[in-house]
Amino acid sequence: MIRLFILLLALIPAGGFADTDISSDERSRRALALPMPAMPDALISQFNDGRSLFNQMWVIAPSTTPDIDGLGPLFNSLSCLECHPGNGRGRAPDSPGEPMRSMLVRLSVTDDEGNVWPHPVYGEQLQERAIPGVPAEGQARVHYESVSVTLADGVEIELRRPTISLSHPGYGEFGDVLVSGRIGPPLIGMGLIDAISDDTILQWVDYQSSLPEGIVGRPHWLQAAADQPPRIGRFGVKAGIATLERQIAQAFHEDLGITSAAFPRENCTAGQTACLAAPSGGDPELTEQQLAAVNLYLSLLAIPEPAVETEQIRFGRQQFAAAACIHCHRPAMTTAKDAVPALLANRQVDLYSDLLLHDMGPDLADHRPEADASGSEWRTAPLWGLGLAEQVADRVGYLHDGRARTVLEAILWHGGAAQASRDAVIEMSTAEREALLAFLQSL
Amino acid sequence: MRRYLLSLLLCCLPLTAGASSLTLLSSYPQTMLSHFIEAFEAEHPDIRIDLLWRRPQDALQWLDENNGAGTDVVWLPSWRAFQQLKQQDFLQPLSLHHDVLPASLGDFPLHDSDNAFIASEMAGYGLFFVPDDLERLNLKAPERWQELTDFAWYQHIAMPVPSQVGYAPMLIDQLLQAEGWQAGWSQWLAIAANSRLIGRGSDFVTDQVLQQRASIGLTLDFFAESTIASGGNGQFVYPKQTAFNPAPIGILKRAGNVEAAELFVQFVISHPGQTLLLHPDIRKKPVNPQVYAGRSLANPFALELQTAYNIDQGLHRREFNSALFDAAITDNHQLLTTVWQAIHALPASQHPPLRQQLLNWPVNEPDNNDANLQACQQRHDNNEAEQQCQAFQQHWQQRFQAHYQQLLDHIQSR
Repeated sequence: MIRLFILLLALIPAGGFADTDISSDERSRRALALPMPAMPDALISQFNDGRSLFNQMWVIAPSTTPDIDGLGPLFNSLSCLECHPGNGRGRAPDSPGEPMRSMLVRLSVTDDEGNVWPHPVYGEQLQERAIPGVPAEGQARVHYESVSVTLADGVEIELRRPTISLSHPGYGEFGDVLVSGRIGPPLIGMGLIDAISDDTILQWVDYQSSLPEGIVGRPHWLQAAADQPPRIGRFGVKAGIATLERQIAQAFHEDLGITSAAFPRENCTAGQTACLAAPSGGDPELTEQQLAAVNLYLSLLAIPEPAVETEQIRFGRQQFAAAACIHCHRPAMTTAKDAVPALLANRQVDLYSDLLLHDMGPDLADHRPEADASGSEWRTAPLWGLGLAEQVADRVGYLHDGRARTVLEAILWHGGAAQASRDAVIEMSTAEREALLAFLQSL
Repeated sequence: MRRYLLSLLLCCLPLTAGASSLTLLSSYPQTMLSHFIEAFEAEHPDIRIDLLWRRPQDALQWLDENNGAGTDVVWLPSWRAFQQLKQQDFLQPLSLHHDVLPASLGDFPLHDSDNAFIASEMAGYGLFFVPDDLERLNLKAPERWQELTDFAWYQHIAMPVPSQVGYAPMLIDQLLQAEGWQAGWSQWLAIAANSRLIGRGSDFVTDQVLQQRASIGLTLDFFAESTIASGGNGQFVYPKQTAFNPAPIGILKRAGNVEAAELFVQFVISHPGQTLLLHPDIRKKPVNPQVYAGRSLANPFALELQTAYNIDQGLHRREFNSALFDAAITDNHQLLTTVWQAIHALPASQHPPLRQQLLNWPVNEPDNNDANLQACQQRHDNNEAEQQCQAFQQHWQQRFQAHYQQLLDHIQSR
């Protein structure tokens, strides 16, 4: 057991060592918005175009600015930045009276056989906003119930258990609908995650299979088209998307109502007639060139280097291993040798995720399956840049629906495959727990 | 499962309606609008803001097509847009308490004379640099724009192109107004000869400086100060003569929710609203002088700067100046810098006459009736005007090219 512990510790990169081609030691408000230092000059213009499109407030068509019009007809936000402030994470409202500003709600319905489908009228996502003349789909509000957890040293932590309500239906009653909240996730190392091969992800399944704890994640295999081989999903909180390009196109479509080659039709269902009749901003609204620019921008954002390691952080790193967090929060992977652009190829990336699905227990479950992921399965969240979350934005949330206001709260929501790790954290001494949190904040 | 059922039940609960909505037409970036909308809605939970985002020119066209209807508040950092809205009689007089706001900054009015709109924030032109980098290069931070004409600044300046960067036309014109047409353009030629030009798709000027592609950048205060507030290691200074550009806000005559519109405008110019401008993501200059009290901020009302600027004159010749800048500088930049370098490769005693020859500005200052000025002013509105402005630009592009080439040949033949 001691040998295993030493092996695990060795897997965690010590702070202060970083690949300076692709990372930045900046830990300020702009830390997640800087280009990789070794970005080739030839890509600067395209990177800037991507940044501009990412920050752009999109315009309702028609307009005199056809390159940026096509917002809606139904949408959640006017810009990518609205849900990813500072390229970091969004947050959940703190009360039912507060609207969702960097959060949205996914929808599904279940048929008599238990199969899950998008809502026949409202689709897969509630769009709370619409262009003039088109009814918005409705309003979502978050209600909280307090739950207390007492730690071994007597500290009491109050968690908030969210429930989402829908109101003001724009197209008839919602009916029995499955809902799941999503805050905007941080946009760190998206291109590097894209550049990790399926084989590299699968190696960790073999490793987990050898563990006595019985924690084995599973890849979320996705079949994009019948004539294409399946690929492991790695984007989204249920790893429901396999490539960064698809992730960007889907976000433009669902969140902003912007069509692209992958999503050529406006985001309206058959019953949403005003939506279907609304003017379009182009065919498609997001050109291939624009999509490629946003893809490049997100791919070449510098990843944050961990803070300089102190004694406490080193001790916290040991606690991270001792609590078996690293079984799922895999410290590092190496990207494929043939990744494009070449700057992303064959890089060791310390993302602290296995990109696998794990059953996280009933407390975190949203009971809403997504593709092959069940209602209680979630992709292990990457932890890189975790300590910058509150640097780059004023207020942030953790976990898929932003219910956790702090990293400790997020840990205490872990269950299922992570139950033992959560319990280990509860049993830690004050010094051990503070060191663990200092380590996480150093990432 | 009980919780799951509770979730389904809550889905069906109706929420109380009754909130009113306010339509805001704006072209500000997400970072600024998010802070204002969130703070306003928190103070007025019964009012929801619907945001219509459009760039200023597009916003004007949209309002024109809708005959000034369909929105309540217009908030654009464009004095020109508000003059046009007033001319079209789209704005209603403001009946707000804005006694705390001064009537002007220097000569520049902060209220419309008929109270059709009011300044909500302002931004001033200046210089961004990293002091350590300048020290390493043995360059002194300039106090005047003219200091940048020295060849010591060769390849060290990042300069925005006015036809491509929205804030640059006023930057160019403020020096022309302060120095006079001929002298101002001569100085811009020399500064441009020392510069990397920043156009559409380029890095931000601040990025150019922080990434050491340039040692000093010509920019607006809020670009620099938000970069600094966000961790960028730099400094911003106003030259002794500069200009501030106030950004108006107004209420449309055909506003559907005048009460909410007045609350919003009042909020923007209130002390809490003006304080939001100081957020690290924004860093615009408040128009309420009280907000500067007790804060270590450069206060345009207290700085001893020359800020005289005739906005009407500047707006009239904005496109004309941009066309001339492209003709003399953007379209001939490589040749211009080559001649500049060739001059300064000669012994110093030979520089003055050659510099004078290069920097001699051959285009006369236009009056407001000048046909080319008018054509350029209307170039985005009609094809005939666009063609005339293009022909004017092309004519001068060729003249400048020939002038630079002739001078280069002359230097090389020595």
